Amino acid sequence: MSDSVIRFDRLTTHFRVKNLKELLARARQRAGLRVRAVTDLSFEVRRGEIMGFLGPNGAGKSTTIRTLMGLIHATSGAAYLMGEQVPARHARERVGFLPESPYFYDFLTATELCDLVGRLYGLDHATRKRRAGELLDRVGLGDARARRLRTFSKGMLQRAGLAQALMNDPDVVVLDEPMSGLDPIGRKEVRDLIISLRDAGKTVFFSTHILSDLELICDRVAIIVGGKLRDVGPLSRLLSPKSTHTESVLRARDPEGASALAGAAGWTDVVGARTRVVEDEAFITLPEGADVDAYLASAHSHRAAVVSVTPRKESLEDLFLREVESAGVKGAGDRA
Amino acid sequence: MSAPGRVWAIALNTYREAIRQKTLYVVAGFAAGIKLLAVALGEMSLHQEVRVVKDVSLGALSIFGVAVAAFVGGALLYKEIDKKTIFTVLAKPVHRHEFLLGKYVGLGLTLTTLFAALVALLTLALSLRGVTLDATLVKQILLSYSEVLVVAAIATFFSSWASPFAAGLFTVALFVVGRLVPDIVQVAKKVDNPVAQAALKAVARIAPDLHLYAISGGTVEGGKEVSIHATFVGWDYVATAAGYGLLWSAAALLLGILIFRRRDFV
Repeated sequence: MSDSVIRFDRLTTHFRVKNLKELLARARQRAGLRVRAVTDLSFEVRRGEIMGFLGPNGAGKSTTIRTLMGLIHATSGAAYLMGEQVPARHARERVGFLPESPYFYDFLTATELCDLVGRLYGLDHATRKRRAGELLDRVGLGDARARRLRTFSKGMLQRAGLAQALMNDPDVVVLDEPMSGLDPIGRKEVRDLIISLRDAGKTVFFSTHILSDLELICDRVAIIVGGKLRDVGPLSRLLSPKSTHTESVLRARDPEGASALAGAAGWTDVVGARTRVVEDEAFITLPEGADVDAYLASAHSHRAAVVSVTPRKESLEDLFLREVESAGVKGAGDRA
Repeated sequence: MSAPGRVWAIALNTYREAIRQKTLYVVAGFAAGIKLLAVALGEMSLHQEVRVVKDVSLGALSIFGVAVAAFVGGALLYKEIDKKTIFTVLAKPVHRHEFLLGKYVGLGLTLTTLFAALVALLTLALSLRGVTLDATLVKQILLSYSEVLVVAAIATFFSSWASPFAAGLFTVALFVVGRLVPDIVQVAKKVDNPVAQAALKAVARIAPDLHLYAISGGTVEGGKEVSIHATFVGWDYVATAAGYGLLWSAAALLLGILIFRRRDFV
């Protein structure tokens, strides 16, 4: 497909366990010596979109990304970067990559790291110097550019990693858990950065297990559980449009308010809803199919003021949990 | 960027890492201390000051060069993989063989710096005695330098698949066997057991003949005795030994590349 810049075609990546401790553990469980990290994975990332790659810890996200970047050999199937089959050395000239929990050469400064990466991309000295300065400012490391990376916090390393991933002004940016280790402000800055990359016409493919990050910025999402693709598409299609429940807040309006709220709570007990009372307010969750009108009438008769009534649709978290439950695994890749 | 450019970028980074670590300075300081000891020992000898300075200094040059090559070289790739710094580099448009060659060239630069510093100290120690660095000494230094580069290539090969400790150990073991190649050949001639004889001959054939680089005090082809204190080998010998080392290094690196290309970085 001409519009796809990343494509996985029945990608399967199994690898041998080399760690002695894990080997022994697998022998005790009578498991094989090969880890089935990713099995029969097929989907594509289209030009100019932000695609999220969602999965619980150990689902196979990093293995998929490392296979895409040529760090792990595919057992079968293939991955393509801009039409070139991985390892796709030429295509990688136009790709930026941030590894998971990046650990860079700690004897280098942030500027030297960007310079090294720029050299590997074949940038001349003036371009390297200019881009390193611009990018370190952009990720908020302008004041720390001359500091050795060994003095950096995890969040600062993540920012340095983002700067080096953009040194070649890439067309495609692949980020493995880019929000990991960042505080809420840092996460927002990274989200803004990703959106600005898309606005500049770039394609962003990033993995995460933080649902809110995906929900806020992704055009499409691929969900992987137990090494297998569970679903892929725009969130609007993946999430059920039906209302799943209704959230309501009631407030007591006179001295008999407490009994009014208790009465409302008693009513909700009848229909099986959840109630939480805090001071003069009651927070009530009505299940799907509940008669909301009857509930409001009941609340009114108990002299309670209705502060809000909000119908809720399926969230990404609901979808994610549904996929994980239907896959029948708790997250880790198939270790058979 | 061209392949040499990428290899050079990785080499410079490897070199930068080495010279920013304290370990190298400790080794260099220790080697310098031995040279000072050589001067002191020379003072205590009976009119053999220059001889002692030369012997001890050249011995230290060789031993410390080999030690750094074996143990820094043995950890060369492991650290990159263990710390996952390799992810950042190999995800760029870099071939795996360029990465391994760059690491080797960086190690070579580090060893060159170490040699340059120790040779400068040797020159200083000799100048205190009114002796200059002559052609014989330069030849022996070049032989030791060639040997150290061979050992570095062997260490790089082992580091492509073994842990740093094992890679260092295997490298030192091969270095010792390599230095003993002429002795192994002699023993093989005297052994009656055909299996043991075949095994010894195989070892002598497979191992690099590192005795070529420590020829002083021994004999060369034709039974001619050579010594850095008397008649030494010619430039043609040095060139041949360097060429032999180059071939051995190329073979070791090629094997390392073949293994390294197949590895998964999980």
